[in-house]
Amino acid sequence: MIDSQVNILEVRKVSKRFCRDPKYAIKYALQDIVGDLRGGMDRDTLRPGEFWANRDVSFEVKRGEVVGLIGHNGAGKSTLINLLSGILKPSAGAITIATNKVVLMDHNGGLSAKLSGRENIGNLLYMNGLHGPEVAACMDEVIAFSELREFIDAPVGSYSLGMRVRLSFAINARLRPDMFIVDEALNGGDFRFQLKFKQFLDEYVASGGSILFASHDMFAVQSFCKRVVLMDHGTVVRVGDPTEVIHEYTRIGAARAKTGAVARTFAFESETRDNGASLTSDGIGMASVVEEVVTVESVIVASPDGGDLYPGMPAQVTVGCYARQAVQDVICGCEIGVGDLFPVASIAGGLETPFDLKAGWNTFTCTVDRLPLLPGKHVMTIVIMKSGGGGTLAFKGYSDAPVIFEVKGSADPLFNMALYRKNLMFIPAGWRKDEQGAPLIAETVATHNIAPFDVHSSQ
Amino acid sequence: MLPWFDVIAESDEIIDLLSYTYESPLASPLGFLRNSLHDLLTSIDPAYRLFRRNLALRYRYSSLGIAWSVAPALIISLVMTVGQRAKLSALYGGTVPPQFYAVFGLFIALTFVEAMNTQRLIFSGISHQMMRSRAAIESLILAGAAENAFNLLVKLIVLAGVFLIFRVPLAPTWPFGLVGFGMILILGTAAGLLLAPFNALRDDIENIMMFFPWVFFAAAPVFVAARPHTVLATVYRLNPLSSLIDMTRTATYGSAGNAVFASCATYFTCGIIASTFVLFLTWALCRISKPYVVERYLV
Repeated sequence: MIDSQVNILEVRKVSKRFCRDPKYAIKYALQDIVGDLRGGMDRDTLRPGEFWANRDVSFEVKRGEVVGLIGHNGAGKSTLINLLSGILKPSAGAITIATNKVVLMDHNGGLSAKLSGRENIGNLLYMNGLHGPEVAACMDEVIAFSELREFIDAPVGSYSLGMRVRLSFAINARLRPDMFIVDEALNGGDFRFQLKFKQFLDEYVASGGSILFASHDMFAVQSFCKRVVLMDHGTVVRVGDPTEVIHEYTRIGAARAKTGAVARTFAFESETRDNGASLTSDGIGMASVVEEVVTVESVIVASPDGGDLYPGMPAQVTVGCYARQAVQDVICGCEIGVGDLFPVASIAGGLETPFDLKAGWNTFTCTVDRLPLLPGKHVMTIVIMKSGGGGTLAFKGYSDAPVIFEVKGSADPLFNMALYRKNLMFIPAGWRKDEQGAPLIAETVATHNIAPFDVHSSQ
Repeated sequence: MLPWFDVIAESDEIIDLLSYTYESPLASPLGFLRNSLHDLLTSIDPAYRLFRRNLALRYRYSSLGIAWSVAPALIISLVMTVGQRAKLSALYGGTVPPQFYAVFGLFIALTFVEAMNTQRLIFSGISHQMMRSRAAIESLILAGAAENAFNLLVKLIVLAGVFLIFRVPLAPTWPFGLVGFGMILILGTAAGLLLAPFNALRDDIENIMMFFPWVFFAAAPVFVAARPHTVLATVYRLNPLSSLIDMTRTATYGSAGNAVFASCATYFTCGIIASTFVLFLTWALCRISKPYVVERYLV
């Protein structure tokens, strides 16, 4: 029995079997329906053509807790979310939720394309238990929160993906659930929406709400979740601290990628050998092949002498990667996150003169003269891509753990003030005092204020 | 902070437990009944919204708008009355003109077929919603039933006009005729709910339903009345819906008398109880089938 004062969700040895073979699938569905009509049947064994989409899954979510749910594609996350949402029925085990106010938040949001935004708001609020006066009272509030007032009477089918995500988010936010199941709901919205969504979830959790947060965005999981559940092949592999679980997730992904890359490289080499073709960076279809042949193996963020990083001092990013074959015209870039915000800055090398990768080990080095970051822990992701939109060769920190580095603090009044004022970065700058004593006229003030930020006016 | 956040922290409502297990819902019949009734009662509001939404969707982008709800019944009435002026000897309406007989019968058949098809497509029509939402199936059933009741109301208004045109007097027992139409609606709904899971799982039902209802109604006193002691009369007797259609006709425009009243009262009282019971069974079947149907859509 669930301890409803402590846990809001308990999943106990839950299994779900599926059959993808159409020859058996419908027969099994009818068997299961008849089984239920007869009062039950054994469902803890597999019939021919079936597999376990989830097997013996157990974990719990405490009240006020944010738990991440991660796993590679096919790990069983979506099936588990469907079971938790009551859409599917377990084949074994039990799910207990200590509330009936659970909302699944995803891209679709249950919106009807033919209805207007306003009608969709009304329908979804009604369908989730709000009544007439409540719906009418909060209609304007939801519209304002979605920031879609001028489009609210247009059919949702005419909305962009970002607009639909915003509308769905505004409706779900108004449902006041005790628990959210968030399934990749951040995707689709722009950066500003993502910030708003994140702020909403932070406030929701602070007010006692609970979240099960399923995502492939490891940065979001790392920064947002207190505990993480890692799934692989339908089972729970690990539950625990986000850093450790994400590391395990990365390890599984790397092992899988290595196996897959070896197999693909072997297949590709056999194919090119048979066809008499050579490996070059030109030609249609090359991008899809070389996508698999570069991996980022190491990232070091430190001072040029390998020591600690300090604000305003030189810094160096060293990216070690392994290329299974030579690739020409490559760009290496990194994005930096500060606190809960990502990304706040980007650096890219090779934009004007692209690099060439040789087969084997390669190292990129990026030097920053004066590091514009404040003391604290920061996050970095790396991307290696073909120049001219030729495709991404390697990622680090997007679907695996990002690089976390620390900028040390010092007793500097500038940094103390910047930290106190919750600045994100600081701008390394030199100051001087002009000797001109006369007061500035209005036009001069305007020019002085605008010029540094407005390229056109300064020209 | 947004205004609704404090609600979560300060809420001291009684905690409702949601429990999803592998067990059959019928393992606890009382619990199944309680949950079903709870879902039914909480579905009334959403069903009303769905009903309005479905009506809006049906007529919003059409040239005739809401007039489409009356148009089919009007057109059928016109075709049946104007088109049968030839007075073919094969057409026989008993005590009323054959045109009137056919319009009345066709409205009964349409009520049944519409009710059946609305519920039969309940899973396939909203598959995208069911895959991402735990919406109670009762709201869909109720919304469909409301839509069919609306359609029936429109038909009855047109039928009143047909009564006036043909100058057929209403019998004193005509309220029982309305009960008869209600029974047709309930039985059509039950037939649709019975077929709904199988319709979602297999394509065969969809193909069969293209012609079967009309074959079924051709073998019932819908289009022409059967002269006594004929093969057609025997065929009509074999059709389980024939007696309901005949009784509805008798109650609405048949002869008066205490015996007729008594037989109508008995027939429709028993009929309503029996058809409601059948409806409950088919509703239970749909509730039990839903997760397995959704599973087929997902995999």
